[in-house]
Amino acid sequence: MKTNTRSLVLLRKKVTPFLFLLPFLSFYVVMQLFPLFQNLRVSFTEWDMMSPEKPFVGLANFKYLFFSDPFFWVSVKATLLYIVLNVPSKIVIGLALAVVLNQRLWGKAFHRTAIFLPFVINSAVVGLLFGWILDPQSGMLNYFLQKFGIPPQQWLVDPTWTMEIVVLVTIWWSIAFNTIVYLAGLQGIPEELYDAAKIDGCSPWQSFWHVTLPGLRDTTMFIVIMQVIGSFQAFGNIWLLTHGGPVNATRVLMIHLYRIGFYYFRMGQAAAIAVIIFIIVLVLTLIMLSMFRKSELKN
Amino acid sequence: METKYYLSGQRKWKIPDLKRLILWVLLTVIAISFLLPILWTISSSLTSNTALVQQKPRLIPEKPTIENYITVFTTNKTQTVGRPLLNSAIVSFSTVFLTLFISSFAAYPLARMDFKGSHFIFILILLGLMIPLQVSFISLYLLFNSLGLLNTYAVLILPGAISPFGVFLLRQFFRTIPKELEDVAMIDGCGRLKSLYLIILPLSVPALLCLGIFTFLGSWNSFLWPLIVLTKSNMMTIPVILSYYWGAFAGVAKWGTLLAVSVIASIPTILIFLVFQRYFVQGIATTGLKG
Repeated sequence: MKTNTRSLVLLRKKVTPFLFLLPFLSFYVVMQLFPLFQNLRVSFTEWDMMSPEKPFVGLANFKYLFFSDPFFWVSVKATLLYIVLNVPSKIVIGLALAVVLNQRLWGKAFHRTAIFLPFVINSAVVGLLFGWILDPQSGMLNYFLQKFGIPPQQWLVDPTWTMEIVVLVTIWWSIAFNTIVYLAGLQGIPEELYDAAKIDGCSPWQSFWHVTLPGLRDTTMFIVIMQVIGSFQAFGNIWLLTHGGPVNATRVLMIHLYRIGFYYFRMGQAAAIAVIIFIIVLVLTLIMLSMFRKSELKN
Repeated sequence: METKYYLSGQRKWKIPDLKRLILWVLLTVIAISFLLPILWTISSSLTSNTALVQQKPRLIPEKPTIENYITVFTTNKTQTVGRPLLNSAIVSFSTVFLTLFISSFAAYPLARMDFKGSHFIFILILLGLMIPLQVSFISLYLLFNSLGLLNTYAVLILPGAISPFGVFLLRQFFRTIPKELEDVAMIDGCGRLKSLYLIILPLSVPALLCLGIFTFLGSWNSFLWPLIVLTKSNMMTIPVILSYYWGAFAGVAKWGTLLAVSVIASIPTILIFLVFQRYFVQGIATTGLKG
C-alpha cells in the first residue's frame, strides 16, 4: 500500500511536466518539425495537386531548377542584388540614426516615434502605399519632380531602377529594427571607455571610430546575419509593389517559389526552392552561432 | 567657442550648440519625411477618386470626403471590408490568446521542474528558433489541404500559435522569479497548476505583454500564409483582401479605395505601437525579435 502511493507520487512527478508540455510539443511536431521533413520529401516528387500519384523523381526538380528553369537564376540574382543593396545600406543608416537618436536632443520622443512607426505597418500596405506614391500618372513623386523641371519617370514600369526603389522602400519600412538594436548596443558600451578616450584627447569623431565602432562589432555581426536571413524570406513588401516585375527584375526567390507553387501548382519544384532557401538559412545561422561562441570565449 | 563638459547621460561630450542645432534640424527633417508617406496615404484616402486622378496632389485635401471608406464597406463589386476586418480580429486575438496559453504552459516545467528529457526538449525548442516558418509553407499547405482545412480559421490561427520563441522568452522570465514564493504556496497546498496561474503568471505580466504585442503584430500583418491558404473571399483577412482589391478595382476607382483599406489595415497596429512603444522597443532591443 505504502509503496503503491509512493510510486504513484513518483509517476505523477514524472508525468506532470509532460502534461504541461503536451499542447506545445504536439503542435510543434505536427506543424513545424514534421513539415520540414515532409518538405524535403515533396521536393523529390512531382505533383500538380491534381493527379492521384506523386511519383518519386529523385533530384529531377533540383536539376530542373539549376539547368532548365528560365527564372531560377534570375531570382537568385534578384535576391543577391536585394541583399547587396539592402543589408549594407541598412547597417549604415541604422547605425547613423541610432547614434543621432542617442544624443540628448529636444523632441527625442517624436523623432523616435516617427522613425520606428513604419515598422508596424503591414508589408502589403507598404507595397501598395508606395505603388501610389510612385504611380506614373497621378503619384506624388512625379508631381514634385515636374516642379523641379524633371520629366515624369515611368517608375516600376521601367526595370532599370526598380530594385533600388524596392530597397529604399524597405529601408523606410524596416530601419527601426537595426536602429533599435544599435541603440541597445550603444548602451552596452561601458562609459569608462569614453572617459579614457576623452583623457587621451580623442575628439568625438575619433572616439566614435575607436570606441563606438569596435564596441558594436557583435551587434553588427548579429544584424548582418539577421538581415541576410530575412532577405531570403522577403515577399510582401515586394509583391504588392511590383509583383516580381517588371521583366522579373524583382522576382526574388520567395516570389519565384510562390509563382511556381501557387500559380502553376508544381509542388515538387516549389518545395525544392524551399529546401534551397532552408539550407542557405541554416548555414548562415550556424555561422552566426559559431561566431557568437568565439566572441563569447574571447570575453 | 567649443565648450565640452561632462553629461551624466549616454554621451560624454556636449556637442557645440551650432552643431547640435544642425543635427536637430536634420533629424527633424528625417522624422517628418518618415511620416510623410503615412500622412500622404491618409490624405489621399480622404480624397475622392476622381480628384485623385485629375487634380494636382495636395497634402490637405481640397474637399475631404469619406466616400472611399463608404465604398469599401458597402461595395457590391466584391467582398466588403467588414468581414475581412472581423476575420483579422478573430484570427489575431485567438492567436495571441493561444500563444500565451500554450507557451506559458510549456515554459513552466522547463523553468521550474527537474525531469528527464528537459534538456533535450529545450534544445528542440531552440532549434525551432532557427527555422523560418516560410520554408515549410509548401508542405504545411499540403498538410492542411489534405485535412480539408483550407479557408478556415484553424489554418490561419494554428501555425502562428506555436511559438518556440514564446516558450524560450517565458522560460527565461519564469526563472527570474524567486523559487521561495512558490515553495510557500506549495506548503499551503497549492498544486503545480495553481502555482502557475496564481503566482508565476501574475508576476510575469511584462513578459506576457511583450509576447502578446509581438504575436498580435505578427498575426495581424501576416500576409504570405493567408494569401496561400485562402481562396474564399468571405474568409480573407485584411492584407489578403488588399491584394485581392488590387486586382478587382482597376483604373480610376483604384487608388482611393485601396488607400482607404490600407489606412483601416494599419490603425490597430499603429495604435498598439503608440500605446506600448516602450515594450516594443525593449522587445526588439533585448531579443532581436521581429514584428
